[in-house]
Amino acid sequence: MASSEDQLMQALHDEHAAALWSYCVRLTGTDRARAQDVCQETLLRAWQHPEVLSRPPATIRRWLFTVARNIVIDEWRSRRAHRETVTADPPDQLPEHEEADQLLQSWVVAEAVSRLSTDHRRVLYECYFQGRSVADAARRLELPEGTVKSRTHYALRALRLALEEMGVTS
Amino acid sequence: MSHEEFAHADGAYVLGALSIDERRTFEEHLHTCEDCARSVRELAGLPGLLSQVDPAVLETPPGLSPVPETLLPRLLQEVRRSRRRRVRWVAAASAAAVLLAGVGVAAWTQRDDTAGTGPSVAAMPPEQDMEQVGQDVVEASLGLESVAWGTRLQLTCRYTSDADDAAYSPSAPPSYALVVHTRDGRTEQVATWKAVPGRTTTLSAATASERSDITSVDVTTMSGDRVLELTMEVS
Repeated sequence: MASSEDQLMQALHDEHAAALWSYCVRLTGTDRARAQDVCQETLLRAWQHPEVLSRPPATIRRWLFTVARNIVIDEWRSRRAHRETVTADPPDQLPEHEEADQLLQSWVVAEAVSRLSTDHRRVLYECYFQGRSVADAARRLELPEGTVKSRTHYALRALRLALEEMGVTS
Repeated sequence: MSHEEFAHADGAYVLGALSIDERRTFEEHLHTCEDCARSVRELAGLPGLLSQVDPAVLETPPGLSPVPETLLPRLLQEVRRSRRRRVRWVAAASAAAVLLAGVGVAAWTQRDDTAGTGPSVAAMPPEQDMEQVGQDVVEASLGLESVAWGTRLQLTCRYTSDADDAAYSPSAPPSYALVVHTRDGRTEQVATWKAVPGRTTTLSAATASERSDITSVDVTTMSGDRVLELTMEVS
């Protein structure tokens, strides 16, 4: 029997699973089994909160990403707490949760970057990671300088939007 | 130079890719152009975030990884499992509700208006503002959450007890009730409480009714006059 609840879950899956899955894979360091657990738990929680689903799609997406991230963080914390009681490790120099948060954030940024178009990724690669000037990048990419400039503009705008959706504000 | 000539320079500028001359000209322009200055501020944090990323991410886009085929079947299995569980729980909760009827089950927590974000209480869905339907000093927002045993309600109340407000000088603080109306016409009082003027109070209440069966929730005075209401969106 396909109840309305099944249909709701099916719709959630069809609408959001692809984006959420790719995010979860990144967040779990490409541990696909864990990624699937996190993805499943996140969609299940969304299904249990129908009031969330009446909001605009971008808001739903953001809610899902936040829930997934919190699930991953909670797992890390509970594993750490467990290990501390078992082995009584001396605390590391850097508080571990800060390290973990930073690692997680770098994965989220990587996920946002990987969603940019190839054109956008290329100008960021040249102008930021290779440290090239607009003029040099334009020569390498065989584009007018004006195009390189406007692409960096739109690439960073797109990146900012993607990050906002994933709950990272710059 | 006109604004148009600079409109797209913000990205290259925050990435440090403008030539020295271009940078100088752009910075001069920033002093006089609020639009460009704001745009630069919005993008300024991005290079710091990008620095956390391995450049390999930009060189080789990740191979698109398809959603595992087992995900949807497992989700639907969980949906069915949770439905079975809920049927049992609602039966148990209804029995409990009969025992508790008239007692007014409400748990209280209090916090000061001035308090910042303290340790978080149990995660609740976002609250919606209730609509004023009578002249009263209470304002409230309400969150509802579907749980295995029915619906959890969380109400955050504020009392506009302005000392100068001559209309509000009661000898004793008023009391209120939280009333749930369901689709099949039932009405259930799920909590009662006393106002604490000047304070923001949060109280939670419970009903065995399904979230989807609740049509509206009212705050009433003890004499039954409605002061606030929240009507559910019909799904």
